[in-house]
Amino acid sequence: MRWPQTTGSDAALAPVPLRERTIWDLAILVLGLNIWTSFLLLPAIHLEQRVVGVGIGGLLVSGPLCLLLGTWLRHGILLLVVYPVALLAPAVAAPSLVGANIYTPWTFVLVAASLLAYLLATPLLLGLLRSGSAAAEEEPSRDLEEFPYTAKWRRRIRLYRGLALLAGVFPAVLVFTLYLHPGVQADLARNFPGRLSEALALFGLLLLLLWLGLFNTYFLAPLKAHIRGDPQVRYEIQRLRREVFRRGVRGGFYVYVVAALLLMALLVMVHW
Amino acid sequence: MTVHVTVGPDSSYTHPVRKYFFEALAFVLMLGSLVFFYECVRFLTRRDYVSAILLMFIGFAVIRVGAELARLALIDRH
Repeated sequence: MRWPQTTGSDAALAPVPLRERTIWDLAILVLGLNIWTSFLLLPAIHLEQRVVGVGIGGLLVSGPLCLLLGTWLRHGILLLVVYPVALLAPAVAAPSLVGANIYTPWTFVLVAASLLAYLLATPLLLGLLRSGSAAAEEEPSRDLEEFPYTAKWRRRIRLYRGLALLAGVFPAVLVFTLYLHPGVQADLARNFPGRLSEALALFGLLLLLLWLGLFNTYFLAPLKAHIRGDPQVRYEIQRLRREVFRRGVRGGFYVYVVAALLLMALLVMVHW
Repeated sequence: MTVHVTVGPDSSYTHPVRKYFFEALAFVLMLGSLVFFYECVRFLTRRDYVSAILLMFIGFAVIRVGAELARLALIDRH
């Protein structure tokens, strides 16, 4: 992460060498092609010729072309919006490419991890490429990592990383459960005969709303508030701190937490 | 807004195990809420809508407790 340097006492950073920039461009390409290969190419190869016709083949090729163009131009919108949409186009045109018979839990985890790696690494690499090419002209910058974190910030960053990880796990599990879990597919076929696609569309919409609500309330809001140093959050933390000093954490709290954990374990044991 | 906090003489002490305990518990509870949302989807596809809604609210409650614990883990006691 780069941060503007305020003193300006050090010498300006040298522009990133061409070799390094080429490696970063290649990294974007490799990450993008990785998701295209695992999400579309491998299923397309294993499906019959009649499923993947000329039209679908054209849509399949449009993804890498978009990726190449985005990398060449170092264009954020092309890489982070147009390319993922281009990946979805063949899947929408031929749903059998991403059906329940294609994905096992492990292959789905692989595709989800590939997508997350691409979406996280690409903005970072684009930022490095831009800051590197403009380093000689703009104000110098310095890595935040040069400055040691206090214990409080290490703890915060650990929590932020945990939240970011969970924000990736939640939608992946929900999408897999609804669209790819064999048991759920069987339940849907049994309970919604003749209206399977409509039921899937409705439940998909409900899941999307559920996830957007969860993401906004429990993942995005705390991160934004803490990063901005929101005065209301600071006040809330200070209020909690005062309460902790005054009363400590009461025994009942631990009882409820243990009860919640036991009930969750019971639920898991009953079903598996 | 500045709030001045008065602390007691022994307040500089924080048991390190407790901090990690809160962090780990927050993570477990937030991840655990996913089990309820997963079951919510299962019940939804079985047309058991009441159970699905109940499980969804239990999931909300569990993730809420996890978030509160994460906030508690951030509190500095010095």
